Amino acid sequence: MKRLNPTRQTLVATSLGIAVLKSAFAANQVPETKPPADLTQFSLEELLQLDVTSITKSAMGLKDVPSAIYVLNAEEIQRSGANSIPEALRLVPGLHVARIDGNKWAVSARGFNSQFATKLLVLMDGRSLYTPMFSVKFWDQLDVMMEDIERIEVIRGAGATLWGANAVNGVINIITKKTKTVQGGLLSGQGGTQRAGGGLRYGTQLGKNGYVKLFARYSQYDAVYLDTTRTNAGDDSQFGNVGFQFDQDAGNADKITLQGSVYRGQSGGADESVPKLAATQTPVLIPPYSQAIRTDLAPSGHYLLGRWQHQHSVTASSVLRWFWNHDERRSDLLNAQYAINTFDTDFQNNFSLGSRQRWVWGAGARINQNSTQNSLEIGWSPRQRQDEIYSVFAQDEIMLIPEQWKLTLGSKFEHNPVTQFEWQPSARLAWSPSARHAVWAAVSRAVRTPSWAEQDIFYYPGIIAPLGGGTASPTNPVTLLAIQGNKNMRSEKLLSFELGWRGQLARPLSMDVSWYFNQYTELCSLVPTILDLSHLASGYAMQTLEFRNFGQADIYGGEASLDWQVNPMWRLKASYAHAQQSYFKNPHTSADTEILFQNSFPTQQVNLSALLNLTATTNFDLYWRYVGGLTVNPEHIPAYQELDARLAWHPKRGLEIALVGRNLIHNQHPEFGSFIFAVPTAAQREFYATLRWEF
Amino acid sequence: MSHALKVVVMCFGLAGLAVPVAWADTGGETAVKTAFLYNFFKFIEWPNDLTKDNFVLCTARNDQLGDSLTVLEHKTISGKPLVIGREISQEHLKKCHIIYIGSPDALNPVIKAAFGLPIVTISDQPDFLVRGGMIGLVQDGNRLSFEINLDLANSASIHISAKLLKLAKNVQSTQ
Repeated sequence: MKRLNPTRQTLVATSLGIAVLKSAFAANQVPETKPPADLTQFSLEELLQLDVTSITKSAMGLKDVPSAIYVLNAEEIQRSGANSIPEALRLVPGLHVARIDGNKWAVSARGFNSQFATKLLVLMDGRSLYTPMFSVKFWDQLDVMMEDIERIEVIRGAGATLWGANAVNGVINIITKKTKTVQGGLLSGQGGTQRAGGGLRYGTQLGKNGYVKLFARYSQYDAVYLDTTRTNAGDDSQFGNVGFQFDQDAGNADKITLQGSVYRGQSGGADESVPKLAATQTPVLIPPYSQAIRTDLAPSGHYLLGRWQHQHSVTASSVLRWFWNHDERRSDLLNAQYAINTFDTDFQNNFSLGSRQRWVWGAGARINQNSTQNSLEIGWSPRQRQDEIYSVFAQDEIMLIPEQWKLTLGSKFEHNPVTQFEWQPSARLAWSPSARHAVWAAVSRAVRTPSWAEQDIFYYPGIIAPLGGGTASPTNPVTLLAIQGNKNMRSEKLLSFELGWRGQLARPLSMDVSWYFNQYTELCSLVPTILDLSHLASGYAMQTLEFRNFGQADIYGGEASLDWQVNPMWRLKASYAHAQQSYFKNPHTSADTEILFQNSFPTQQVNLSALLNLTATTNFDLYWRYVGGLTVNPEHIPAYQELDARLAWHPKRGLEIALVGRNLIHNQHPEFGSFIFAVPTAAQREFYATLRWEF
Repeated sequence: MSHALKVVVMCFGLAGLAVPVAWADTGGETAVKTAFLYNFFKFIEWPNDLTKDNFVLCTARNDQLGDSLTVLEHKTISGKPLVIGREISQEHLKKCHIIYIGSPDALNPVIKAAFGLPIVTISDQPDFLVRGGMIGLVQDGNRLSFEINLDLANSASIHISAKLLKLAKNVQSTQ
């Protein structure tokens, strides 16, 4: 047999190379789904000579991406049995997903986990879901129809050059299905010992080149029992949302998208003990000094997003995107709430410069507005606020030696009203010694800008009763603890070094390894100020805890994952993640300084999945995980292991019925600890059935 | 060890690593298979002017080809449009010139229904020719190759060109 014509070989590589480049230019837009490789221009003789494996990896577009990326596709999500995004994210190597209560979750990568995990950016269809109030993603505000997710891209490590401030430890990019691919109806439902709900989606053609989809979903989660007693913990919840998406092909080169949704929810929470207050900043002076209140919250909101994409030529395209996001969170028991509006516009362009350089650049403007309703127990000062943020970025991908060495240089420049200018550069080098292996290294800088809460909040996390617990007096006062925002907060900074290797060890066996050394400075911490004794005559003292940038940390570790298609019926996946964490306080600060979220990330995690196709119409999947111990403020949460299982049956095309068991090993186990208005409850064993019917 | 635990251990493969390694389902393969399907049209002739208006490529249910078939949209063969019938039901089989079978559950019904008709059955399933198929796609190291059941093609009045026969890894023929 003759060898493949070398020019043709190059052609394959080049055409696939473009697919790879596209994925690398995901930037802060929806990365386009990679088109399948078109090999029809090859003759039969050439096809017979093609090494299938060389196409496989490139066409996936991941092998050469110089960062620790994992893509959770629709099939994996379906087979996980997940009804919420955090449940699905448990499958991603290196992510730590902890259930705090029936509706609250802590998700982070490479350290600093909490419901208030500040260093992970979450986007959905290019729209930032990160709330500027706390610099977090509240997962209970995101009740997505899981069947409508095309894929979830998870990047561990700094992604700030493309995604901007707050993409410090990672980026989660949720991409929903294109309207064109979801024509017809889909009905889904779930019900079992602790959950119920369902969703409906319908897609149809609208006009000549237009497609639309409409969807609605409702879900509810029951409360769990508190540890020792069989009393209801109160963390039950209900969520509902409706939404739409419309896509229009306007000519050959233009695509327009309009999408939006409205959501309402009730996130129940267990009781938390809070100080009893007589007036603003004034505790009561007789026992009881604290009271238990329900931490129920009511999230609601909506969004509208428009997107216009124009293809200038084969190698150049632009995207203009605009969105309006409105989120509210209300506590009826505290009679406090906040509402946030975000208006965002951004533009992005990419083009080739010669045959070896790909440029992507863009500019954006964002307006964040909030208005709050303060109560005695919690509030913000000022009560209304508007921040304007402007940014530009540019990145150049340079083929040093085509097919072998690739250098990516770029930076984002951002201006915000709090810390003024921030720059977030990165340099990434990738080397592909063969079609089966790629090695990459990166150095990047990222920042996390101060949240509104860190600047403006007041909140009373606790109270210290007088000695003996009796009535407070000037000689035996009650001490009120107060968390106070700091108007002079600076950004948290990260300098990150990363190294990675992806290899296809054999046709059905691939491996992905990454290492990192992350150096954090000016981390947010809570620092006790001098005890305020000015009200001693009235019988109380105030101990204020102020936000200050007094923390530092060195975190190093790595993640390794293995994917083995043992045979067509049986697939195994394994992953291991390690995060060695050291924290340091500013030497001039008080010994009682607490770096936020320190040690709240497990040092080790192990995941094993076994996916079996038992027959042509049934499959059975097992998911086992080990999560190392961690410390939350200052409670120790022990290591645990758990097993989930799913049995699915497809009696006919488009119909699936599945049984899911979660937490099969233990009756209940804790996964996380308590931090401000998030009272943990144990995760319980649970069984439920799901239905999915496409019609 | 309890029975349930044994099952768990088995599923994770701790007790049975000796299963033969076989073909993984990935994007590259389906792209190559799709290109083969497209190319085959050029080397096959159907009787009675069946292809005078267009060529029809069909797939049986659960074809496992993912989105790779989308590259064939709007393609032509010898100036005639290529029409694609994705995952068609049995009653539409007669309109197809080629039918691709990508899953074991569709194999027997399609072979049975296509028997004697001028329809080229193609599949990547093992022992396809033995089971009554016309062209089998077979794994050849890291490459994809094909084999032809010439007797079956002849009996269905389908003419396979000499070039295709020459490129096939294996041709089954009693002549």
